[in-house]
Amino acid sequence: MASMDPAVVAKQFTEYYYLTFDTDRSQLAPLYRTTSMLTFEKDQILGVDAIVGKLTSLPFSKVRHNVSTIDAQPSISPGALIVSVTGYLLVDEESNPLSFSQVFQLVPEGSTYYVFNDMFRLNVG
Amino acid sequence: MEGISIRGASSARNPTMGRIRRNALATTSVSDSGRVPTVGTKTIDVWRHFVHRRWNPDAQFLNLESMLNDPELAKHGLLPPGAPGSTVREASVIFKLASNLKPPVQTISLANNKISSGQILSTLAHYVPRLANLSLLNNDLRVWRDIDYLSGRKGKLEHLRELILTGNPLRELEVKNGRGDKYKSDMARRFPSLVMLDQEAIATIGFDAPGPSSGPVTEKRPTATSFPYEMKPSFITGVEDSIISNFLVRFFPLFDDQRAALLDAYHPSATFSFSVNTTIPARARIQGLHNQLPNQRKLEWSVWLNGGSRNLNRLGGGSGSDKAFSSLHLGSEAAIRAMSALPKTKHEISGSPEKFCIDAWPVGQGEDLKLFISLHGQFTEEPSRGIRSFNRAFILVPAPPGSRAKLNGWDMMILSDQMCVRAYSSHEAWRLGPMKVQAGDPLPSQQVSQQHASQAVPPVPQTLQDALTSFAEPQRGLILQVCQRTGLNVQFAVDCLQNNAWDLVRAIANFEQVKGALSRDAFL
Repeated sequence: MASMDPAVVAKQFTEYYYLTFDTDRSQLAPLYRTTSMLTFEKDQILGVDAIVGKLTSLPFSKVRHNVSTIDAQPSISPGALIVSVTGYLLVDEESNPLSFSQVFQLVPEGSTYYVFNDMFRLNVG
Repeated sequence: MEGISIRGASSARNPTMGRIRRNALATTSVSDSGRVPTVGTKTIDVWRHFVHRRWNPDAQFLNLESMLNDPELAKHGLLPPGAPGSTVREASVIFKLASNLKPPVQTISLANNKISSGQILSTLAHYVPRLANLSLLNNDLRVWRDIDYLSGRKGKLEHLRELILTGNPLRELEVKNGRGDKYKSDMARRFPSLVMLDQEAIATIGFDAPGPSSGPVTEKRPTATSFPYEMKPSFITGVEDSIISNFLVRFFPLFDDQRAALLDAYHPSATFSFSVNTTIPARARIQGLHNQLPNQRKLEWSVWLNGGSRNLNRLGGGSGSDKAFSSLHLGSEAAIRAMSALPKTKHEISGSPEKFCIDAWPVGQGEDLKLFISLHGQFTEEPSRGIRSFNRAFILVPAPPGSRAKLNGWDMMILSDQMCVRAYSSHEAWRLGPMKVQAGDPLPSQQVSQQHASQAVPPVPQTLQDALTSFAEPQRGLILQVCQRTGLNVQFAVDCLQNNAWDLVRAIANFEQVKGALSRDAFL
């Protein structure tokens, strides 16, 4: 993820993020920091520990994300990115996909990036 | 046919007018029943021809502007409303003809007619009770009583959304004498449904969660089951609602009708991109939204896909990013050029706020205020009039004094604009409560969501969350903002906010002043 091409960063980040989420979401911790904010529907959750606690406590055991669109733009601070994702997910044995939208604000740190803001909504119908 | 309003308007003091009115109505009915034309019928025909000529059925717009200059009316010696000697009779004939138009009239403009008496308009509400937009731009209405003929306590024009009185002495005097706010609130009281007055938003968008849907579609589907997570309403934290609503209420009408004018609203180095998600969401498919709504089949994705859709998901590895770059539009002029090539849209953001879900919060660390807005909603696409859903993410920055944006009345300007256009799904997706999913039998997951509902806090056994539970909104959101932007722990964030009257901007500024003196245990 050292490349500065925002399109490539966005693509690699989303692939890594959802693969990790679907495999073992407790392993998402390295992507967040103490000042990271997850907004999951309306709940605002601050800090890596609380965020991972929230994600691992979601009431399903299996989940599979399927990404439909990714868009990325430079963000407000140098090197930072806004990444918008839409797609659908399947939980447990449920066969009906649920659409979601998620927006990440990625901030560079050394040769990598961390998630400063993460906004998830299951409301795309 | 009874013409109740006409009777009310033509007062007992003026029996002559009442007689003229009866004649006018009699003439109309003769004409309607197709008897031998009389002189009166011919007059009606001229009016009818005039109304049809001024009628735009696509826009449901009846253009009654500058009638004094209409050659056809002049040729037949007819006196349009506003002409010397014209009475409520002529206006009533026009409004009655308007009431028969199909599809129903939504918008009437009576601009530039020198109308000096509201009484002339007293039958408008009777004949076109569902009128949504009325322009009386540049007339000669002088007193509040003129407005009483349009509004009042009798439920007149109960559906009026937009009213323009600019250029009337009544309005101009109120504004000139510094009573603009009172004028606005008085108008809002007279027309409770009013959203726009004189081309300004009269009320902030209702950010509160929409109430239970009255839509029959979901109610008929008892087999829907729930995703085990509660939907939550829009939230706006650490920023005045009015900043967001003023921006959106101005932005979307221009995006719909006058995209080029948005050049002022974009930062010179703004970025714009859009992507297309053609998937029909599962629930929308189950409800048949993609083919049961009247115009959905006429929608074409090609115009969007060929217009520069930027979907990095289709990017073939690290080297193929040229196309993606070409569809990231850099700079306000490129942004406007790109969005001007996209299909025409209609966002009903003022009329139907429940169809939009708006999340907003400040971003940026210690610097000026910047706002992140994430918006979900729908628009009608022209020319097919099919409906699409969209997500949009904006980053806004305050427009500096003297900037092009500020000079053109934008308090905030757009630094970043990302749009994702997708197949329509109903806004019930952000109704409160369990997310409904079609899946045969009801699942026990409903119990899960009930358990969820009974828990006051999210099930996160974290000290930070615990520390926050004693605070209610909006304090809770403000504390989180301070924590995130300063790294302070909850206790110090609360102190900082309390010492700054719970003003986020002041609290952050205060933190910046004293942060060097804070010990390590003040931080997360």
